[in-house]
Amino acid sequence: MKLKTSIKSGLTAALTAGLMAFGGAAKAEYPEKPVEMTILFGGTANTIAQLLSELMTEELGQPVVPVSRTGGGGAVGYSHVVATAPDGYNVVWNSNSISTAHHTGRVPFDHSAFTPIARVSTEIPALAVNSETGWDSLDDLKAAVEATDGRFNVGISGKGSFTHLTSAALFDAMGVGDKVAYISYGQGNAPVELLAGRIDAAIQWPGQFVSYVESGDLNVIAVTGEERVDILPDVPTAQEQGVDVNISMWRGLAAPAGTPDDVVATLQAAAEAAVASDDFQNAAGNVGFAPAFLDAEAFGALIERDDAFYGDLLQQLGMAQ
Amino acid sequence: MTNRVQDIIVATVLLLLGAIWTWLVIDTIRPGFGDGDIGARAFPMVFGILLMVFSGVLLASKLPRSDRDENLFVGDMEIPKSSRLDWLPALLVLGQICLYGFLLEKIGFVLATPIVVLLAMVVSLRERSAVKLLGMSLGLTVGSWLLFEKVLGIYLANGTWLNLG
Amino acid sequence: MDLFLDALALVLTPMAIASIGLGALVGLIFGSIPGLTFTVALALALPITFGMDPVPAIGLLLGTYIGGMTGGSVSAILLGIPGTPSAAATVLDGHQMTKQGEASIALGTAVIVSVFGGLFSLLVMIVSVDLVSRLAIGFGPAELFALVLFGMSTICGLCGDSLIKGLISGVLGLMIMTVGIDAIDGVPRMTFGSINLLQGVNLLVAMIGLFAVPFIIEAFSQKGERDIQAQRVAKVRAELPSLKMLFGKISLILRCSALGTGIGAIPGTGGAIASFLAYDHAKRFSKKPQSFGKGNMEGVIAPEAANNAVTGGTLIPLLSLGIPGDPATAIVLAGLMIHGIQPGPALFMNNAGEVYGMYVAVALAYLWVLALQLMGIRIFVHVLKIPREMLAVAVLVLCAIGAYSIRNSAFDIYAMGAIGLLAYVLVAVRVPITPIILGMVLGPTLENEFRTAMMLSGGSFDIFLNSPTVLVFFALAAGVIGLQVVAELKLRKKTKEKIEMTDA
Repeated sequence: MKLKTSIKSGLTAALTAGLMAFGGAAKAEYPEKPVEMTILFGGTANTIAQLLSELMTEELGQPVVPVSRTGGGGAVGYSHVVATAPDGYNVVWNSNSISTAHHTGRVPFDHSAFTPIARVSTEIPALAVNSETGWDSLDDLKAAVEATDGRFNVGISGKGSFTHLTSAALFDAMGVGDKVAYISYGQGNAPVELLAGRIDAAIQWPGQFVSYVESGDLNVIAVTGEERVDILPDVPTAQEQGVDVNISMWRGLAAPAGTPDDVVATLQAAAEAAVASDDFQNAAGNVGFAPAFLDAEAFGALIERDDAFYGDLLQQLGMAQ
Repeated sequence: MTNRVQDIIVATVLLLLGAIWTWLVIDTIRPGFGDGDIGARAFPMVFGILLMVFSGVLLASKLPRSDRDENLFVGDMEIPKSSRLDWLPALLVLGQICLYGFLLEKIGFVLATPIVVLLAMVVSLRERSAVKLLGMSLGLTVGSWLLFEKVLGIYLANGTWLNLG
Repeated sequence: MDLFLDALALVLTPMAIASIGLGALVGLIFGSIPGLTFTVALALALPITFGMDPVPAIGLLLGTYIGGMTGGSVSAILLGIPGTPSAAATVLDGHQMTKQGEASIALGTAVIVSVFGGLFSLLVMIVSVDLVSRLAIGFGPAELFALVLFGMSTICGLCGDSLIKGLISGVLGLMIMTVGIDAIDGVPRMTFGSINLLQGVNLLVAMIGLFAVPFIIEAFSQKGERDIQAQRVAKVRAELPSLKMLFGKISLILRCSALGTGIGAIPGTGGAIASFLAYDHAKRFSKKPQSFGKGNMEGVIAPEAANNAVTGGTLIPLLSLGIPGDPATAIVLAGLMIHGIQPGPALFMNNAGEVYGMYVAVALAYLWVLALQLMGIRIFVHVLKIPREMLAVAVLVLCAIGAYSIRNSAFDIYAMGAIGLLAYVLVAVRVPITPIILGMVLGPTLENEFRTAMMLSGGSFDIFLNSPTVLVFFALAAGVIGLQVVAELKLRKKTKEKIEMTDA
């Protein structure tokens, strides 16, 4: 009988809680129930998002629940969020993938289906080679590619992936794009393939290369962003080496289009405070991303600019739909 | 239905499935560019063809009439008796699972679970005892809600139509 | 030695010991509840570690990983529903033992050989991490393809009475996994324009469907057959395997542990291929191969020793190369990085203390698992006393929760139902379903590594022919398949002769 009473009391509790959530939905200060944050990818994206959601929970006073909806290169998660009510209780941890998902025809909507909230972080791809090659700069690399008869193998994560787009833009800017063969790998294998000499160069995230650079096995010769990255301070940018490429992967928050401005402002403030916190700054150094808060307006302009860029690039690569 | 007839039906269905699959693959996926680029089409196509070949072999090995094959001991291995194929309970369970998935999205875990449990017990198990029905549906719902949502912190579905807890 | 003592001091704090224990317990719970998987457990444990000190944090993650790996065998043995793909091979004989009333012996054996396999691989790792990681680098796409092809050849040992049906089943698994976005070209395959199909069929979801749904359907359609019920309850005992019996199998345990460690050390493989290879190995070298699949103890020992030896094995590429072997170790990697421990060749220079701390934590986690599981067996076996149809209702709910929790998508529940119905029909028409899971686990690797290898070589097959490793694996695969075909033909002939004799 004890069991029955506990079931009964449990049920009453559940019902009351439910009714409270129901009845309270009328009017009050946002947020007054948990905010769901949809995550599109595993790996670093997931790690940053989970950390961010914990920190934003402290700011908002309501739980921010990270919910992983991976698959389809982001298509699944974007489609879920786009179909939810624009009330600020569903946000998406987005990235440049909104442009690639749209231009490759995986989702029928583009970035304008979302209201930008804030950019949170950036990651900058780095180009590494085996240190035995002796290549130290993009000039060395260019000479080596030109001297190769046959193909020059460059490792990427997969066709149409961010590392592929970056590699294509970089080697095209160097003027040797047509001699390069792009080899698709799983995410993490690039350093090993470089060590074993099966590929000649690879573009991946700096975090994967740091340990190999310290041990002297690999040599990172360029990063593709505007500024150098903190964990590899000695590596010059491509622009410093006279190759005009500026590509970085941003991540941020967005809500379905039509979300009220005051709600966006509240979320933006919470994200800004979270990014400024010590916990977030420390994690950035360890995991290998850069905290990079940008407010809703500037973020929106960035998305707009990038979308045109990736649209053109995918067109050139023959991957646009 | 004897094992042999059953095998022939299975082999035929799979042969057809393989053919449709292969045709769809060839029709909808573009081939590779050659020169080392195998492309996205090759593997699904080969798998489809393999399925056709294997089910073709199975069909061919069963077609020639030899009634004696039945119920013979093969070496020291018994031929397992074909178990009854109960379509009704199987389709009912499939229906319940799909309904559960649908309801989870629409009305959330806390409401979907008792409904599906009740349905499964009434329809599939023909359970009529009110105590058992209530006990199971509420017990399972509250129990797993407490364990997963509260203790272990798994995200249980929230409904988009209405939402409790 | 000093380093080791420092590490002991770091790990043997109440906080660290408790968090390893907590991890082991949570992993065990997730692994042993049908439908839930330890990948989900790790994803949940990760944010908890953000606020902890590095050593307890990593202890919690390693404990969850190891607890989940061993916990996967519990529901595999009791209900025939594996908790992880690595435990799928354990179902074959473990569940048969349960049907014969030897559930607790199977569970006890599984946990003891698991712990042995895990500690064995830890030892190998400590002494040879450098050497093994250098060897692992030699495994490129061509070698991985050959290894996976060899793994596929174990289908032969899993297909019961008909090789052709086993092959059909394996191909079905391969086909299912090609649905979705192609990993290399990024184009959709067989998705018919559906965004849900773009995400493809998740391996864990399919595994739940394959094993749990037939269980539910059978329980629902057998209602009323009470005598079976009574029989089952009478047979529940909580009895542990005798050490003497285990000592008798020590050579098999050692071989399978070594095999698991070796497979685990190769980046991009995982527990499932190791456990199937070990099962096949045990059957092939057994004195009574025909008793496999009918409750042979060795069919539990081999996969369980091997899949836990993989835990130590995967730590080698994870720590020394920074490459996670599967989604679960990828989460462990994230946990290491957020605490400032950067895996890779420089790890052993920069963070030697933490590395030794991890060794101690792994050993400790296995001790926790041993203690928790041996106590748990007494509780676990009581599950069998629950009326089967009531249990099935609970399994239905748990599996829906489990399938949903992986990607929070109702599509996964539909996929689980559809694959489950397929599995039920296949079982009923005597097509074995274990090769499907093998095809699903190995299919994506098989395809991607082959295509990458061909891209590397520019379309020339020399990349396979020039590598001795590849040739060895090809030869092994050909040998396994050849032996099976010969055996099958012999059986046919024998049957024919019998027929002719009755004719005469």
